[in-house]
Amino acid sequence: MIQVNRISFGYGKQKDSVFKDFSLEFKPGKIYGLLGKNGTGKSTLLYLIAGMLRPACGTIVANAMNPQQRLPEFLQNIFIVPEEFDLPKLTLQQYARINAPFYPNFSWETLEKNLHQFELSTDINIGALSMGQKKKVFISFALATNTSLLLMDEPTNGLDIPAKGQFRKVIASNMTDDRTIIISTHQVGDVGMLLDNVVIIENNRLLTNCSTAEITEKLCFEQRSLEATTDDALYSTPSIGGQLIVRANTHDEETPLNLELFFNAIHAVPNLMERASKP
Amino acid sequence: MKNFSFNRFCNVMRHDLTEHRRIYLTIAGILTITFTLTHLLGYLIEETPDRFVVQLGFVALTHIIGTNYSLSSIYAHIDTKEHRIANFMLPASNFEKALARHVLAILGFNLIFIASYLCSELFNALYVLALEGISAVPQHSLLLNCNNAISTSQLWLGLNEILPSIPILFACVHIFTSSLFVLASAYFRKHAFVKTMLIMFIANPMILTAVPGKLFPHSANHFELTVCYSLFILALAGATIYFAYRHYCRIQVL
Repeated sequence: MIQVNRISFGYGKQKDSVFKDFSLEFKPGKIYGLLGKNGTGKSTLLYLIAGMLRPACGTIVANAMNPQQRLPEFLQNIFIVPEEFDLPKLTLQQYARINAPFYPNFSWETLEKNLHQFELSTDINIGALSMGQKKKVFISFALATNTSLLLMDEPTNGLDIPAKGQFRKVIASNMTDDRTIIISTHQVGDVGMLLDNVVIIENNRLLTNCSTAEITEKLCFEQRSLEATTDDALYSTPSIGGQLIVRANTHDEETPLNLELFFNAIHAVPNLMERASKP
Repeated sequence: MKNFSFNRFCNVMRHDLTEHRRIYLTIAGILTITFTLTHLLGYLIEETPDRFVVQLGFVALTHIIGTNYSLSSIYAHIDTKEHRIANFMLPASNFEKALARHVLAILGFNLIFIASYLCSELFNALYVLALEGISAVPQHSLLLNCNNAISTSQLWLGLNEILPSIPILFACVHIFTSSLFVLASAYFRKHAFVKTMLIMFIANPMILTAVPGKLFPHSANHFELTVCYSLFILALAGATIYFAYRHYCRIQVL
């Protein structure tokens, strides 16, 4: 469980340029998609949760601890996969041997299984790998630590096309009821199917924090021809060969969640979910 | 869970040692080559009367520079955002991480220094053995002649006459200067050694002349004052190292 309570944070002299009186909650057992435009503070929020940045005011409580203190018992239950990282020039065995003792729930079997799913062996030299392969190794290791909090910043950047599917499988197979995974990304197509909850932030405020089930329960996502009427649409946008619309789900229809369309719709109509709830 | 666990501290040490082993091997290689060349040069110009004193001075200077370089790299491993994330997220306390870096920088460097020196002595013995035979080996060994060299050195005897407590004074100032390199590494992180050296060129006259000059001008023969001054310098060094640690604890990732 992570509680972000009325935090303010900014870079440089402005103490609230990124977040001002910002609150948010993450529950265990869910995979969260943290979405937002460039510069809205997605990575900053991850660093704040991990205790690597300090809010100017407000509090953050993660696993009933204050992340800012960087206590070992907090750190052994959290793992962050940053967008850019630097792995030492060691073999995977050496890397795992020097890092695994810090994580009490680390599992070698899980590491091997994850690497296998990414089509990598355990007998590799990390220094000789490409950036994408290093990312696969790092994600595999991150999941093998079995920490209750896993933060990932743009995890699919640099992964090849087959690896994006493998990534979804690996994440899904490692998900447990007491684990919280937060994925900050722009690549909504890569992770959309994985997500239980969608968090969208924009200019110091939380646009939405709701489950994907709630979204599809309240909204329908459709593609219509250019000539078709859009009177019932809460949001519409032109697309190749027609128009994409978001409308209220009035007859319990089941349409797949179009995360990109939802993202654009909620930016254009911030009270989209409330409007969809109205009879 | 305590702020310090010996098991976790050992894990941090092993982690740092394995990750940075290439750096330690490089330092060992550079030191071995430097000392071997020093021996070779000394062997080639052996008619110089103070040969071993000069060699010893060079080894001591290498030790001072090496120690300061090593200390200036204590917090240099968190020079980039990626490295800071890796360091801050390692599940150990700040104290354990900092202590491991200090132990590796001080104890680790000195072990490398001794090992490199002994290697160079071995190389020295090998080429003397090859060129002059076994009987010449002891007379060309700095290790076997350094005690004699110090006791007969005019430079040393002269200094000792002016200031009998020079070894204590020297050691204290060296410790304090070294602590400044630790502080610099916490603040500069990138190129801490070079930046600190530049600052020291300006600050050294004040530290080495003005301050001891005021506190220690004619008191060289007074044991109590020497002790007081040494303790003052050591306390200052301790405070400097503590400030560096406090700063490390407060560093943010961006």
